[in-house]
Amino acid sequence: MLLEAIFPMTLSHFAKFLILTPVALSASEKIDFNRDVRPILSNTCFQCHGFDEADRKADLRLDDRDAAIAAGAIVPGDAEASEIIYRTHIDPSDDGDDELMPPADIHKPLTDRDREILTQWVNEGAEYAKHWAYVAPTRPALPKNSQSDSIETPIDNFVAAGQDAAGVEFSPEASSAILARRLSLDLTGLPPTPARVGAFVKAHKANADKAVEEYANELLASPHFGERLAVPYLDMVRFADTVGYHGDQNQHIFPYRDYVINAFNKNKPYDEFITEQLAGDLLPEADTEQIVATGFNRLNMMTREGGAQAKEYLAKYQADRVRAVSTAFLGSTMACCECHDHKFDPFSIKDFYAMGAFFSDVKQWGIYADHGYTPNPDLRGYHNHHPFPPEIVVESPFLKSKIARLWNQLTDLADKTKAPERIRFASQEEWHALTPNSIKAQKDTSFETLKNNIVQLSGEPKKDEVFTLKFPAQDFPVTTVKIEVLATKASSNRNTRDGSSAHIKLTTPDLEGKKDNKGELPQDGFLVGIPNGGSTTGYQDGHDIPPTKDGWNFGASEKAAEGSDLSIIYHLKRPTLKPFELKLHSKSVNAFRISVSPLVSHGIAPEGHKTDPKTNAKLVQMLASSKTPSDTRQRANSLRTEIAALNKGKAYTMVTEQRKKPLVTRVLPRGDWQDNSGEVLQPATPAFLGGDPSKQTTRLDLAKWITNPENPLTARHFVNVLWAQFFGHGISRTLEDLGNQGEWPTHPELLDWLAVEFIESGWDIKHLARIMVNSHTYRQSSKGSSDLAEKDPDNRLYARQSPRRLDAEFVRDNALAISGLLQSEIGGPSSMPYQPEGYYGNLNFPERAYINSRNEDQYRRGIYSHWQRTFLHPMLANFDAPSREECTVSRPNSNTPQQALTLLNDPSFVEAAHSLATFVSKKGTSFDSQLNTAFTRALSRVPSDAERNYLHAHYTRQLIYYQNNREDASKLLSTGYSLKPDGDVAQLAALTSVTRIILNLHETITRL
Amino acid sequence: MNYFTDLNRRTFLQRGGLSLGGAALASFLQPGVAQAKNSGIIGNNFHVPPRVKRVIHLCMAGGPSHVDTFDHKPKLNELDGKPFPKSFTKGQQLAQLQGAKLTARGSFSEFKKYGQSGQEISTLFPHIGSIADDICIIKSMHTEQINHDPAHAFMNTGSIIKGRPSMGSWLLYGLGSETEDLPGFVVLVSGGGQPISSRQWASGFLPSKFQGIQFQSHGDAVHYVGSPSGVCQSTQRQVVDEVQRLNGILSERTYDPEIATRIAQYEMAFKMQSSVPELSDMSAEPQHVLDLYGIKQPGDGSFASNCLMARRLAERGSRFIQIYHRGWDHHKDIEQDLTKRALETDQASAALVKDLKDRGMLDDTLVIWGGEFGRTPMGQGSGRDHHINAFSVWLAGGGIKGGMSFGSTDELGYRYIDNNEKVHVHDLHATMLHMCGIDHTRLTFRYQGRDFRLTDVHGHVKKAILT
Repeated sequence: MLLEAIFPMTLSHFAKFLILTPVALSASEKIDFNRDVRPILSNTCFQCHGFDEADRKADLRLDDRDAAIAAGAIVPGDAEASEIIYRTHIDPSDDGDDELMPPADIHKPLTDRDREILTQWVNEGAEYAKHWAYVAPTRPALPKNSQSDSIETPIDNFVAAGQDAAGVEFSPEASSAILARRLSLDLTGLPPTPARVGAFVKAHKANADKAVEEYANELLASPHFGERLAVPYLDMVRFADTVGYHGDQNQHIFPYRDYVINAFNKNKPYDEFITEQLAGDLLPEADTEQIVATGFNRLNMMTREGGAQAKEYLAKYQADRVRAVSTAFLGSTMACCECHDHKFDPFSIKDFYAMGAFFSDVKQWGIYADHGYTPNPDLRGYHNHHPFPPEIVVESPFLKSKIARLWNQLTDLADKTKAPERIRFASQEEWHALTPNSIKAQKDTSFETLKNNIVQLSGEPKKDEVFTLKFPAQDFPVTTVKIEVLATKASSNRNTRDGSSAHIKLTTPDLEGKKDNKGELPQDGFLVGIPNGGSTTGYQDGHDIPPTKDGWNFGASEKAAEGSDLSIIYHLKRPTLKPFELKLHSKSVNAFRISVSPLVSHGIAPEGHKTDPKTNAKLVQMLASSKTPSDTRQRANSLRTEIAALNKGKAYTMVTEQRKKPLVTRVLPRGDWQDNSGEVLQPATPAFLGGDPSKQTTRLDLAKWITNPENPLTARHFVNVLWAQFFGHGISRTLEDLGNQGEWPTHPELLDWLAVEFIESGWDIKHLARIMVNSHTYRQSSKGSSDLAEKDPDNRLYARQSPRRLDAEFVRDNALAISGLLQSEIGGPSSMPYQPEGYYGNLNFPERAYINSRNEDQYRRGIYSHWQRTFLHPMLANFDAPSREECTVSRPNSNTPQQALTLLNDPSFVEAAHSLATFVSKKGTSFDSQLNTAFTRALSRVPSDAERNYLHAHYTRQLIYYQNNREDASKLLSTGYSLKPDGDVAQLAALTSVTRIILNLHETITRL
Repeated sequence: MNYFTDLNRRTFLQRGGLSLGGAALASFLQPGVAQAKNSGIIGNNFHVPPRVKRVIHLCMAGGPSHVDTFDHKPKLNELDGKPFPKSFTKGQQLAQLQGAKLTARGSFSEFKKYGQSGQEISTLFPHIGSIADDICIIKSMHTEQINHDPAHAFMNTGSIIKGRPSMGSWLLYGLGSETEDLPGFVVLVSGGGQPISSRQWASGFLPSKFQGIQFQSHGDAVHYVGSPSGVCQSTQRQVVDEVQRLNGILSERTYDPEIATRIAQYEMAFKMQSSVPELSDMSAEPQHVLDLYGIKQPGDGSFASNCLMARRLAERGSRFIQIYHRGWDHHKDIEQDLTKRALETDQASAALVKDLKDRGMLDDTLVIWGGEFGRTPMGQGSGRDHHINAFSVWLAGGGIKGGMSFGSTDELGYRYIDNNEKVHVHDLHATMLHMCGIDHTRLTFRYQGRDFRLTDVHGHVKKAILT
């Protein structure tokens, strides 16, 4: 009845769909409880007569055979005597209406077919079976089938057998070019180069199987494979750059994303992968990578909202983790048990909180702030700009290579800067320690100059002391200045005099600057300060405030041993050959020493770098000479600033540390955090799934249980999720739920075969992917036919491939790759693609500005896009990327006007079109050859005659328009940062109009 | 994700004979097609007779103080400055006042009886006073979340777990939209203060076509709705035409119903490119209308301008329009700041109701005015803290009994009176859906194996406020 309401004209199709779907059984076949009966009982009965004891009606449970029989609901073999059959067969219009089951008010009426199944089942003896997904998988035999010619991997045996039963067969292999593009997009998220497609087509002709196998292996070995698999994985673990609640502040976590990408690339066994994320810190002799992995436990949303109660939010964080772990690793919906026993599955409310108890040792705070009304002595003074501890510092290979790249840009710039070699100097000493000509202490702190140019302070430390230090001109251009903080014997090997932390700020007059109206020189002579040791004085949006601005802090004991280097290096904006003056703003420093150097490289050159004298001379020349064009000096200084900000390639990342004493975990009745009446729980895994609670105490034990080959859920879940990535939907379509309400798999034996294969291969993810993409099921054409669409509209029989629109990130990656703009380096911090202005206007605490990445970071892959949980980038949101506030296993694949608007008008895509037009115009002179190049890059094929004719006509019209409206042409070509129009703007604009069409094609954003 | 439109699409293709290349395109782009896609799962098979076609939610974000606006409490005024009776507060969750000494704070504003009905409303809201006979003030609202972020989530989705659909998305999913070329669910934001999140209008696990679209006050009203610089409308049309044509060719080569949908979506996108600017262009609105709302500069991003925009959207068929005005979080300086917020919102809120009424549209529109929670009758310095046990919301429009108050709070405005007239957020949702012709227990979506509802397993329709 409801169906007719929804599909007035499509009912007949719907009916066919129901009948032809592989789960259907023919009338003569014996009932299979799991396949046929369980879905009916679970969907319509269990919510009142199932697992949840508290809400059970009439004290009847139908999830348990003995109980159902004892209650008289079921009399095995005798449907007529069974209450369940009587109650489900009452005519709703009868007076006995209130006895009808399921009751009308739950709006889940049974169909006639459901009733037939129940009746047949009871008559056949009402046999129950344990829910399929709660029994460990065993490897089934490969089924016989009639399509032996199409069998490439064992997968095909199962699929072919299913097709045999339904009377359909495989489609032929896809054309080789389509197959190349499919493999590349599916395994790397990037399109293949035309050259690689060409090679594949040739190899495929010679030996199709070998060509596919080799290309798949090549792609599996590509570093982009890790990025491809990480995208859906990061949805599951809810990876984001911001904390989500309220102010949605930035958090430090990108090294964890790098960890995930590298893990897939290294083919880290899945059991190790899970273990490191849950409990890397508990592994014996854990290395940095394993600690970084524990960032997983920190990806719950966090708050620092004023007025939040720590206890309430600790409960929210714990529940968040249970939901994420049970969904991401087990495909189970434990979320339901936060308030009550699960209605459909045997999970109890106790299971929920006992699972949470595994995380009670995670060091965390309910509110990551120190408000007057909720004081937080651990995080004293924490405000909206602070990071979210605990964190560790790690080295980022990406940042290091970026330093090298920027440093090369700096030396290249010096090489290209033509100015007379005016400045000559002999010294190439690294550092020259200097004794000042004069020292003046504003507040009369007493001091003496020791040997080795050390200035030793004595007497009472004065607050806010400022020393003015004057130095003579050197025989080399002073480029960098270092101040060392020394723990001398005279000061009992301590850095600071009052035993507390100390602070230093160094300023110098701008050597080129003009005096202000008070006759003082402006204090802006330093470009950047690069500390070695010590700490920042504060934070801005979670980032360290550069010491150039506010100075630098260090503790009394830090690096206090003799000979240690606790120092900070300052770069002068312009190197100087003149006498110079420094002001040292100091609190409580014991002793210091000033050194100067002619080298530009200090603190900014790549690690292990040694500048040769010639290069350094050129750099100094560029920075110091008055002949250097001002935009060159500006560029050079911005490069120096940019490198300094990269902090020698070090980055913070949130990790799991243990609390001294774990939090007490209780059952929270109805999920109410204020209710302290619940039972105190120790960590334990869900009782019905086995495991020995007496041996389970730590997160490591939880990981061992999840990755135990006997766990019936872990491998099945992963296999099902990976399958969906290559075939469009899961073998069980409900990726998030393998429980009673989950869909009975279309190919349960295939799912089990793959799960066992996965476990027995040593949880080898690449092996699993290899079996999938080498199968004929994967390789076949996606063309389909009206006949197939009729018989199997959702392609559950896999008689064709399912064409699929690319996921959000890959839609953009694809356009960037086609256009040649893509910056394909792996890993590193998030980038800021163009975003509509003012989009963060609703954010506060602190207010946020979004600054588009100005350099090559603009063209990084979508996986690196800044992920603001409360305001996800509109391009990503429009293409169904989730906010990652909650574990998400499957994204919808929608098709909306917002997607069309994005591809048509988002500057990223307009710029890509311009870039593609520029590229093809350099590759060929005729429109035909240009169009061929563009098509081949985008679609791995040349255009058909019809397409060529339409686009040529369009090009001609646009060319005339832009020739008459050159201003419009220039405007179109000014979108984005990457390119200045080159050559005839009208021609390029007309060609850009064509490439815009290509980037908007359904085929371009679809993997066929 | 498999849901009904896949089937519709397929059937359409079969009916259309599958020929989508060049010439057949024209027939494919008949307006009726796109319209069919906009219909919701309920279609015209309403569960109960619908009273309204659309909902406009004026969300006063931050939590307005009920005792200074719509819930007059003379007893509280008498107790002003004295210790707040412990019998009220014992064992209750408070936000920033947790553990603090609690002092009663009387209302700083005057209350007056307005209209024939004599509803008591603060004199800070004289314009709303002037529509007193059209509105029903619910004084017994209560919620479960005491901090802004989860309280907004709760008010919008009926849950604090992220990833649940917002009420606007539920409505679109159920009823679809009556506009082809404008979003069916639109969000506008004015003011500053507490942050708000786009999850408040997200579609959660529902397909993303049901998400709310935030109109921007700067740049393009809708993201990417403007053609690229240097591309005139005619060029853009030609680009879209060629995209359509080539997609049509593809659909002849390969059997994929998504291609037909893509073609329809491009057509709709192109229409939006002209309909959104047309919508945003208020130059044709007569001066007396601007004056009614108190609009200084149409399109200036003010609450007043957004209210006028809401009416224009309502006229054009949007299903759910949500206007946020931020800045109601008055922990301190409540006298000064609440007065300012009242000045910013009073006239336009009332004008919207009057304007809809003048146009005969109030009969099939539901207007909801209120915040995500209330504020403590206890003082917090010069302000009030968050409060979940009582707050006021008013409703106006088709089928709402005007000139009445519904539910009440205790003599100090601390807690709703626990009787049939108490209104939980779930009850508000149930009532809203009921007015739209939907039984809240029957509008469900299967996700993670469970049939989810806006009202979870709760919610009672408050029929007493309906005519």
